[in-house]
Order: sequence, then C-alpha cells, then structure tokens
Amino acid sequence: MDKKQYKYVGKSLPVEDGPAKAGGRIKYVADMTFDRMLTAKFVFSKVPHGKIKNIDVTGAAALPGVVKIFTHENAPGVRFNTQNWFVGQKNPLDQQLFPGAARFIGDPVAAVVAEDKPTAQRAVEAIKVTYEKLPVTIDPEIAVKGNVGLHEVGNPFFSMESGCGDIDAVFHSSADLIIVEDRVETQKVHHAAMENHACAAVPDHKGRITVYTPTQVSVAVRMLVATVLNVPFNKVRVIKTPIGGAFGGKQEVTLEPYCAFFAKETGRPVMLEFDRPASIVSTRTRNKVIGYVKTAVDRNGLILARQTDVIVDAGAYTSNGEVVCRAMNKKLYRSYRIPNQRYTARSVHTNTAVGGAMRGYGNPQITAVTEINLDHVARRLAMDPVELRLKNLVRPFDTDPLSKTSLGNARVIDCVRNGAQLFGWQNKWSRPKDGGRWRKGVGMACCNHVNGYFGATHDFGAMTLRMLEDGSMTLSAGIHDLGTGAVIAIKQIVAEVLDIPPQRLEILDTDTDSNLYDVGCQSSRFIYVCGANAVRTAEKWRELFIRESSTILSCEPEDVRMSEDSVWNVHRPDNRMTHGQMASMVQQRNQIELNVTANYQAPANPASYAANFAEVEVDTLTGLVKVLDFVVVQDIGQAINRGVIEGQIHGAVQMGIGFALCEDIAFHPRTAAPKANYLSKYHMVNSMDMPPVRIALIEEGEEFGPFGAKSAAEIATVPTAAAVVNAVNNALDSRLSILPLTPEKILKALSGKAE
Amino acid sequence: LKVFHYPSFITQESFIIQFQNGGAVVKRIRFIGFDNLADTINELKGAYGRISIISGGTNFTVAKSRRDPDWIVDLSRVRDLQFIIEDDDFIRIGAGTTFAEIASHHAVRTRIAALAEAAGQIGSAQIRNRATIGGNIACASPAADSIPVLAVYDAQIVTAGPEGSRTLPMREVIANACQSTLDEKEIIKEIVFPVNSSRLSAFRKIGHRTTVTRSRLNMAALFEYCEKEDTILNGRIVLGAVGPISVFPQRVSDYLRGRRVNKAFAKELSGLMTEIVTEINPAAKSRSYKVAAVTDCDRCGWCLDDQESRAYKASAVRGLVYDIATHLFGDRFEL
Repeated sequence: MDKKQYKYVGKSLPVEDGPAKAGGRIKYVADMTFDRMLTAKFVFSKVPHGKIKNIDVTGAAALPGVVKIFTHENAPGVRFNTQNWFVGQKNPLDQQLFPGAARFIGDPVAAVVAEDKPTAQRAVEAIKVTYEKLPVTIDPEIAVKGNVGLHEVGNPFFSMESGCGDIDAVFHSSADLIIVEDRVETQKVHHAAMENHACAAVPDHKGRITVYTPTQVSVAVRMLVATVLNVPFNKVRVIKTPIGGAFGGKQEVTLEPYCAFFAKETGRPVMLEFDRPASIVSTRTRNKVIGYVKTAVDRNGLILARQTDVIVDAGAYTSNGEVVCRAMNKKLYRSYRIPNQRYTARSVHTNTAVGGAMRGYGNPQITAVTEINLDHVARRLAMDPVELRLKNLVRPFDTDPLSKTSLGNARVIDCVRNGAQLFGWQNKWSRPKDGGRWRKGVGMACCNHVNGYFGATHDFGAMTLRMLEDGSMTLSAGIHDLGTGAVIAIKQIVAEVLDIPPQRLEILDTDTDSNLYDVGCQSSRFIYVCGANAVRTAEKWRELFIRESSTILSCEPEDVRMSEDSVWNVHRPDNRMTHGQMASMVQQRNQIELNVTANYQAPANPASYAANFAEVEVDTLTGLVKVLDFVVVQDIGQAINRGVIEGQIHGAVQMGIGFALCEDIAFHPRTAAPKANYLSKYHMVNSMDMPPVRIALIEEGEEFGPFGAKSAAEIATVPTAAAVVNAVNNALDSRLSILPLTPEKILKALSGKAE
Repeated sequence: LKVFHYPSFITQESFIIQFQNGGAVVKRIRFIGFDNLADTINELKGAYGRISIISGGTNFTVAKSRRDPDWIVDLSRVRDLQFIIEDDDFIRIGAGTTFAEIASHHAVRTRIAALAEAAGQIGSAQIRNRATIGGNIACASPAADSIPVLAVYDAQIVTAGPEGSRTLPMREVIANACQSTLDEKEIIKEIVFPVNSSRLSAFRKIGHRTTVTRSRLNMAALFEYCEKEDTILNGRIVLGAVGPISVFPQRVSDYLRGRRVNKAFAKELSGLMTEIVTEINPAAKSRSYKVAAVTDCDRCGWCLDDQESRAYKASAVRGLVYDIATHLFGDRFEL
C-alpha cells in the first residue's frame, strides 16, 4: 500500500473530553440527579453457596425513608445472561435478578430502594438472610471433576474441541522430537476502571424507561432491560453516559436490569451505584484459566505439534464461560504456523466472582499459557526465543487453518524483528547472568488479536451523517467512547474523507432513541468496522452534497469542486459558496436534507499483531520484581490517532505487568471470601514502578480498514504478562507459571532451588 | 455528609446536613479549630460524646469511624505543635509537624537519619504534606512507618490535655493494633529524640510497590558504631508490620553488642532476623485481632496475614537487613 501523507489521519489530535475529565467538570452517571430520585443498595450474600431459607426484611421495611425492598420473592424470575448482546444468542440463561440460592460471596440477594443513601445503607444492614448451606467449590481443577454443581447443568458445563492436522501422529512418532509440557495458571483480576459501576433509570408517563449508563453496548442494555421487564424494546431508551474507563467491565449488562426494574416498580428515578468492593466482586472479572500445554519441536526449532487443554473458571454464573473458550480457540491458530494442533476447553462454575469480558477476552490468558511454554521450549533447545519465534511465525496473507480465511497483512515478523532491535535484545539476551542479590532477565512474547466479529456473528452498524444549514455537521451512531478516543478517531476519519476540519463535526452521544443499530464497542471492532463505516458514510454523503450542489451551481456533478471551506463550479472559480451557504440553499431550493445513512457490514476479520519485550530485575532477597525496560511493537495497519494509540499501549502495559506480578482478587481457600476487595489490598502497578515504554508501530495497511487501520488497543495488553513472566524466568532460571508472580512465589521458588 | 461551613477561625459549631430517613436533618458538630494549644485544651474540657482529634486528617477523611462525630478537634492549625528544635543531646519535634517537613529537615536528616528516611516514604507526596508525626503515633497502625523509628530511638512522647501533661516512653504509647494508651482528650504535644553523634540509624520498608505503599514489613536500626574498630558497640533493631505492635527483639541487641562488622555480618544478622520473624506468633494476640476488626484497620492487610505471608516476611526480612547494612557500612557483605 502506498504511504500517503494524510492531513488528519495519524495525527495526535487531543481527545475532546480530556480537559473536562481532568478538570472534574464532566458529569458521570453517578454525578447526575433527577427529580425525586431514589437510591438503591444491594444486600450481597455473605456465604459462598447457600439456598436462601428466609430473608427477614421487617426491620428494614419499618425504617422511615425505605420505599421498597426487593428479594427473589417479589422480583421477576426471568432468566438471562449478561453476556448476551443480540436476540437469540445461545448462552445459558442461568442468572436472575435475585436468585433463590446464593452462589458466591457478593451475589445480590436483596435490594433496598430508599429516599437517600444513608437510609438505604441502614436498611441493608438490617436485613437478615438465613441460608441452608450448600457444598462449596472454588478450585476449578476440583470443580471439573463434577462433584459439585452450582446449576442444574453440572460441571463442567461446557466443553469444546478443535484441531488441525494430526497431533497424535507427531507425539507418538519415533522422530527426534523435543516435547515440552507446562501447566500455566492465570488468576481473576479486576478491570479497575476509575469510575465504579453505576446506573440510573428514569420512568416516564408513557411507561417508557430511560436508562443512563456507562455502557459499551447500548443495544445489549436495551435488549436485556426489555427482556427482564417484559416490555417491548421501544419502551426502553438507553443513553450512554461518559465512561470513566471500562476495559470490558462495562460490556456486560450487570446493573441496568436491576435499576430499570426498581424504577418501573417505584415509578420514580432510581440511582444504583456500586462502591469499589462491589465493583471488584459483584460485577465481572477476568476469567481464571488453567492451561496444560504440550509442544513438540524438532531440533531446529520448528514447531510440529501442540496440544492445549484449558479449564476455564467462569465463576458462579456462566456469563461468557462458553464464549471465552471459543475466543481462546481462535487465537491459537493465528500466530504460528503449527501444522498439527488440538485444543480442548472445559468451563466450570465455582463459588467465586463471575468471569466476563475484559480487555483481550481470554487472549491474555491463552497467550500466557502458550508463550510461557514457548520460552521453555527455547530453553530446552538452547535457542534464542526470538529466533525460535521467527522460525515459526505466520507470514502476511497466510490462511487461518481453522476458519480457512486469510490472516490479512499479518506483520508479526516485523513486530518481532523491529522490537528485538529497538530493545537491544541481542546484547541483553547474550549478557552473562548475574549471580548476586539482583538478577536481570529478559523476556518477550507475541500474539494476535481479532478485528470484530466477522466469521462468528453479524457485525455491522448504521451511521448517519448530516450537514446543518450553517455548514456544521453531526454524526450519529452507536459510538461508545470508553476513553479510547473513539470519538476523535471518527472525526479524523470523516475529516480526512471530506477534507473538512474535524472540529466542524459533532459526534452525537449514543442514545438508542436517536442513533441506529450498532454492535457496540467490543471485540476490537471499532476502528476496523465502525471506522470503515465512517469512510463509507462520508463518501456517500459527499456524493449527495455534490449532486445537490450541482443543481444550485447549475453544472454537472463532475464540475463541482469542494475545498475545506467552500464549494464552486470548476468553470466559475470566482463564484464560491461556503458549505453553510450551500447547505441552506439546498434546503431552501432543493428542499433536501443533507443527510445520509449508511449500513456497513464487516467483510473480513484479519489479525492484528503485537510483540512485547521486557527487561526485569529480581531482588532475590525480597522477591520483588522491577521492570526496567519495555518495548512494544504493534502491527496496526495505520494509526488513526497516534497519541491515543500510544496512550492505550502505556495503559495496557500497566495492566499486563499487574497481571504478571501483583494483581489478584484471590479467594480464601477455606471461606471462599475474596481477599482483595479494596484497592488498598488489590495491588496495581503505579506510575513510579512503571518502566519506560518504548513503542514502534508497523503501518503497512490492512485491506478494508479505514485508511488501512486495524485494531490496536485491546491487543496491547495481551502479550505483556507472558513477556514479563518469561523475563523473570530468564533472570532466575526458573519455571514459574502460576500468575501473579508475587514476591512470595518468587522466594519460594528460589528456596526450592537452593535445596 | 456535606460540610457547608468550615470555620475559618476558632471554634464553634458547624452544621452538617444529613439526608436520612427521607428527610434532611440538621446535625450539630462542634468544631475546635484554634491556632494555639492552650485554647484547644481549654475548649476540649467541655467536649463530650464522640470526639475525633485530627491533625493532618489523612486517616480521618477515609476512615469509617468519621461517621457521626459530635466533636472534631482540628490540630492542623495549632502553631505551637509545629516545630523542630535541636540541641546537643536532643531533637524535639512538635507533634503537628508534617512528614514532608521532617523528611527535608537538615537536623533530622543528619542526626535522626532513620526518621528522615521513614518520613520520606510514608504514603504519597500529597499525604506527606498533610500527615503529621503525632497523627501517625495516635492512629497506632501496625504498619505505621514512624513508630519503629521512635521505638528504636526510645523516644519520649510528651502529651497535654485537660488532665495535665505527661511524658512517656514510646513503647508505652501503643496498646494494640490501631489503639493507643492515650486518654480520649489527650493530645500528643511533642516527641523527644535523644541524639548522639556516634550513632548511625536507618529505616527500610517492603511494600507491594516501591512507593505510595503500605509497609508489609519495615525495620528501623540504630547502631553505636566505632569506625576505627569497625565494630558495633551497641545496637537495636525494631520491626514493624509483623504483629499488632512493633517488635523490639532483645536477642538482636545482645547479638549486636560489640559485634565486628565483617563480611559475614549481614548474613548472620539476617539469619537471626529470619528466626525472630518466624517465631512471632500472631495467634498469641488473638484478642487484639478482634479489637482490630472493629476499628478501621481491617483494611491495612496484616491482620489478614496467612501463613504464606508470614513465611514470606521471615524470608524477606533479609532484604531489609542487607539494605540497611549496605547503606550504613558499604557494599561489602557476602550473600
């Protein structure tokens, strides 16, 4: 693809709500108030598994200011799955607003709706729940044996298998093979968005409910709320509020059905706001995954076969417990040329917090499983892990052996080569090992990620672009900017197509009453699908504008010329009109609205790629790890907004290092209580412990992507943990593979070695 | 809670409007906010009900116990609590001195190095600009960073209150996790550090992060050191965040007496410290766990210590020993 100089695309234009967010002026949903608004608060289960025998609400109900108390006895029993985002999606419906049995510590068992927060709090404390205790399981490897089921379906509730080639022929062959096996365990982590989960619902005189929520998928909120309330979809209006971070945590519809139900029942606006412990425990977490992986290579480091078996800990309800198995499946076949593979996945319920969407959607887990293993393969071969990867990585336009579709312009080799050079891998890798208290090590990992849903489900959206009679423009679509820069990216794309300044365009806030269907901000689809939709919409709009202008200018459409601020007939260059003058003339004379709606269906699902390189220093006395240096190279096709991408990558590295070293909700082995339900106990990497992050972008263009762009933000956190773990193992010559590598685990490993 | 009026001068009442039981209720909170200690104590005599004495207010603003105080005694503007005075044998630090001031004070840095080091690592820069040494003592957190330093120096705590003034050694001030022995109306006035030019001191901590982190383990050391002989004449070490109150092992002092600082020094001392941490039995203070559970320290982490974490601390304490030994005596110890 030709390298083109763009006027707006690729530039680091600032995100427009940044100053308002930093200055505290933006109104998040929890900052909103409505006339006669009530407050809702939950009673969360304090037992990990128990049938509810009785809920005594008498004390709470008697408190002045308590409006209504809801339990499983007076709430709809409609079954749903918060992961579902389209009608008819086949995920098990095992959730209810208030279930008859609590299945984890933090399961909502009742709610108080009251005039104010302190009253709601006092009422919640006054509600007494008694349970008939049921057997508890928190260990997925025990759960998978099927002795304890949380739901009728039992455990494991889902299993799947995929493969290509014939692994048995390889593993059982007498050839000179090296086979390396690993067991890798990843933990449940919290999204840690600065904005906790919150939602408001406002009923009106027509029986409609307006839901204000920081959601990533407004159509899913509408569907689930309407389903639970048993009302037509057009009775539910969803307005996306400014999002203070989501990372997948606001992709599932967790709070909205409750809040809408309370509003419907009380006839008054209701605010439901989670505090941090509730956001950590009672929304969604990253699924815990235990992976057993076995890789066969020849003496030259060519991968011949790989078997990967995973157990997914979905937590107490299914949520994405099936879907995440499929998501991990796909990733296994798109990074390396492995002729023979088998993958099996089993998903289990445990009495722990519910898993769900989180940045990378299973990919950081499966990448940890396979990339940690691959470094062990390299060690067994006494081969540089970069060299091992370069021998096996996919090439541009390779075919995915599972879907038989093209990987697109897959530039993972460029990522690894450029990254190794930028990082100074050769020197750092071949440096003699330290023997003292502090030991340095280097590690790397690479990965692929998707661009939307094409190949799995429908993936389309409709976008409307208008010019108002002063020449200013609006664009309406289901754009859910999570702080990802989605709004500025769309502005840059439309501005580039139309050659207008981006500030002339206003992106309207997502509101299901005014914008058309869009699949939402999930599955790394925004740039590749919505961005391409913006190109198509802008192009169609320009056709309309030129056609209508030609009648005003009394010329043929091909004679109409447009510049940033004017439009004219090429034969009468002195007679120019501004866009505003033209728009109002079109209205008054042609009586036409300069309005275009375009549908856009994703035509492909190429892979994006990333490689991470980490240098760490381990203190062998305290077990603390310091990440000294970090390099990220991503194959993104084309940057739409370079500054936003770099910001995404910095944040992703922070998440990934936390995943590798310190973040862990962790459940107490005896009580099943979450150990880290406050940020004071849930340890994240802070800015002072962040390494410098050096970034390079591979921009070789991707077919169908807007200006060649493909996904960049979600993938950024995928290989990070694996790279850091590999670096620690390199430093200590260890095989640590249970995340996070806490100082405890590191010292234990070291003392094991000493013995 | 919304504070509508913060008195800019002296005492008096503040009105807090609480939204409860479906209506707004005006609650009176008496506020004492003098700029001098005498008036503060005088006014404090008449206080009753739930009294919250605050200094920097950094714990108060996040603590659950801030709910419904009847009196708030704000010491942050009491000028006669803010000082650092040195003479030949003592350094006196006003209880209202912030950690930022302590960390950057020349006399503290040169003569009570461990205190400057601890003060410089407490919380974040913003916390250190507000939080005071008196507040850190009064809150009595097991993970407090200043307390092991005060203990290792055997600092004297001078208090004042309606009942008069008294002086007590640091070890008598902390009763239990998050519990001091001070009376409800007793105010910490100043801390007196004995100083001596032949002493070396240092403070180090291990948290979950390098900075802005609560101590999982901390250590203050004080050595009387003869450079000519390269020998520790006398030494003390205090460990924090290993139990409800800081630990001052006599065995370490015995070991350190007359100890030559040879190559094996750090290794031997860490072996001893590992033994000591291993022997600390938190279950022996089980009653204090219950006390801890009803106050605010259920968030600080160490109360929930399981065996894994204790084994970790016993091992990681070696890191603190090497840090301190290397810092004070140079990088010359075998691993």
